[in-house]
Amino acid sequence: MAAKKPTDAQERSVSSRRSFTKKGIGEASMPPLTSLMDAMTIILLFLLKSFSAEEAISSGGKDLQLAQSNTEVHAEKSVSLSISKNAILLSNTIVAKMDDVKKQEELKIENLAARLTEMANTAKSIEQTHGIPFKGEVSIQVDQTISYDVLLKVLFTAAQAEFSKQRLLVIRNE
Amino acid sequence: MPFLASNRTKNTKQKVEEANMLPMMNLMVCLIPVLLSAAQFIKIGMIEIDLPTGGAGASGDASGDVPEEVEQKLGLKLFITEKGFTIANDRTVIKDSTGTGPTVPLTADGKYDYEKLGDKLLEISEAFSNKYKDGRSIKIAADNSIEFQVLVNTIDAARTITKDDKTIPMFPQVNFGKL
Repeated sequence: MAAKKPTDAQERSVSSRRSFTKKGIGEASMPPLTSLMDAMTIILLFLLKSFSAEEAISSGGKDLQLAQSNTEVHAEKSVSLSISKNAILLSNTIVAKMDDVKKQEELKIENLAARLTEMANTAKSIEQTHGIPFKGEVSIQVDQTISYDVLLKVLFTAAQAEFSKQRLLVIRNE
Repeated sequence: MPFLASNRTKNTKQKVEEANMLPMMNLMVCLIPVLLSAAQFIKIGMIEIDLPTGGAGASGDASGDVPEEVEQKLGLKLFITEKGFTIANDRTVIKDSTGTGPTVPLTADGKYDYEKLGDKLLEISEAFSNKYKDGRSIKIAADNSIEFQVLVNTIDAARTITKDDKTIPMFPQVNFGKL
């Protein structure tokens, strides 16, 4: 005698009964978080990457508040030079104290010039060995209260050290 | 009685526990709004400085090939002082209406008048920018005490002006000098 084939509805009810028995009554099923984690990780990485040109600004604090401008040119990454209220920093390392810079008569800041020349020479040797061109670009973050004479000394010193493509970083107005 | 192969597989699978993702998810959910809000408010731009290039023919006096017509330059300069803005070039200095003070004096409440400066520079740009090779350049010099924000506002006023919702370029090539 041939066995009776179960209908679709019967099959569904059996399978649901089985799964109910397996999980138990008090055990709540967890939503699949792995795919959500993947999406979140991608968004996070994208956001962090978009901050790459703007990362230095967050570390400025009260000593380094940028001026506001209506420029539409976006910032690009290059050698980072900062003029804060208390010091001049090259790649987040103090190279000159503000009091000393204000006191000096001559335009060239010796310590800054020495460090920049060193960087330029390194970049040139890399250009020769690896073919990465030295463009002489420097991005300068200036606190909005810095006086003109200090700015001029820094610009002059950078130009003397072959960093002639100078860019002043500002906060863009919308 | 030996277990069936299918039962053994089921038991092994049940023992593997999934990593608890909830704390990580909580962290992500906090981090993403923080980054998004920061991205909304901080937008970094830059002002490029055009340093003068010391070309071979810049002076034009050492070699024998002096050009037949001496190249006329506008040589526009803008001075920022405690009293206001003075516009000049090698030949002339533009005075204010009284003929004594700076071209654009401070406002009655002692602030710099960037709007009036823009209007004045627009007049000069319309009259001379197309006639000279350096018609789009301006050299800015300031008193030692002038703050960087004043300098940036002045650069903004010199580069472009907005009239009837149209942005008109004036002197986009900016360089600095000493008073």
